[in-house]
Amino acid sequence: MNKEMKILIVDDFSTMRRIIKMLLRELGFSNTHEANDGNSALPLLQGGGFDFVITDWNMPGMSGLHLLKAIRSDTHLSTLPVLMVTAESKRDQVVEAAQVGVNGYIVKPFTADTLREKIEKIWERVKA
Amino acid sequence: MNDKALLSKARSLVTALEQGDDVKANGILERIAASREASLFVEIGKLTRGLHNAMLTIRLDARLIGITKTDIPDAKERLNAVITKTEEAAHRTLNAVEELLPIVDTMAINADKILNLHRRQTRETTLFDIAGEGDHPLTDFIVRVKADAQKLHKNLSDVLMAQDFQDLTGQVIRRVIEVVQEVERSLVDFIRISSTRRKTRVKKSNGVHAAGPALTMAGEESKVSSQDEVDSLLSSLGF
Repeated sequence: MNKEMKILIVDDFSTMRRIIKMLLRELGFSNTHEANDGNSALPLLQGGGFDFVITDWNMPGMSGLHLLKAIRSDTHLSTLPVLMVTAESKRDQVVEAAQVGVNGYIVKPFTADTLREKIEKIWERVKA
Repeated sequence: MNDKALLSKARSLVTALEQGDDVKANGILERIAASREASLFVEIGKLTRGLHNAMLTIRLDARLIGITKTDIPDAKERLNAVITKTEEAAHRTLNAVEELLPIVDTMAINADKILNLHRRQTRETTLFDIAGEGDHPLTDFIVRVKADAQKLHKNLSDVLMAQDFQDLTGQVIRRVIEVVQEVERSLVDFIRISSTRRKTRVKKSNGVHAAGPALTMAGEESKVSSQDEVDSLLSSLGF
């Protein structure tokens, strides 16, 4: 796993974005960027260079699920690893996200260890 | 038409049909249908009167208007203020943690360096010292610093994670605001409907266009006379 990988953090709460950013830094990932919803995230991603996306589900404007759909249907972004970190814990939603093609799903509140494990797991599968 | 009359009509109908008297049969059918319509009319009339009376008793009082105009917007504002306040607090805490973590980590690294340096030095000066390094107060201190740095780091990480309260509570509060907004919309609609009725009645009674404010009690006097109008209309229809 490349510690230089460019990660986009998408969440409408600035405090949550900051927590994730600091956790990633603890894990050695400092190349992080932020967006506060799907609408501002998509053009950033389309600008290119991103290796990983961590996104919330409930956001004003474009939700995390819609962002995921947009990513998967964009030819340049379709294989981008996406990890969903959200308070939405209903089974149907997890299934829906998986069907759309999410690589990992973390339910809030979460621990630093969970974040680390999920990122590692996603990366292993992506390499394979 | 009561059951007895209906039965009698039905018998006449059957007879007329058996005799092939279409005109008579149609006539009987029309009379039966007409009586059905009449009873329907009576029912609707009763319902209308009932609804009319009910709407009059749900008075559009000043309290309800006050809630819609002032209290609900205030409530939403307060809830948003809570979100803002918790956001500020969480960021302040994160600032402090962000500053401390590297300090603690540097402390641990430097403690390690000093410990190694110290061990080398003490080894060089006490080659036959079998008591071990546990005796040296400096060693004890540095080992303690390392352990403390680890503890500090762990606890600071806990404080960091705990700030997620702001996101979780914020999302809950946003949902509450949405519910409040829905209630607000319904109240506004209700007030609008009730005051429209009042305005219409005002128009009818005076014959003059009285453009009173929709949400005050100004329409009360006009209400009486237009109430009479509605009442007399309903009465003339037998209700």
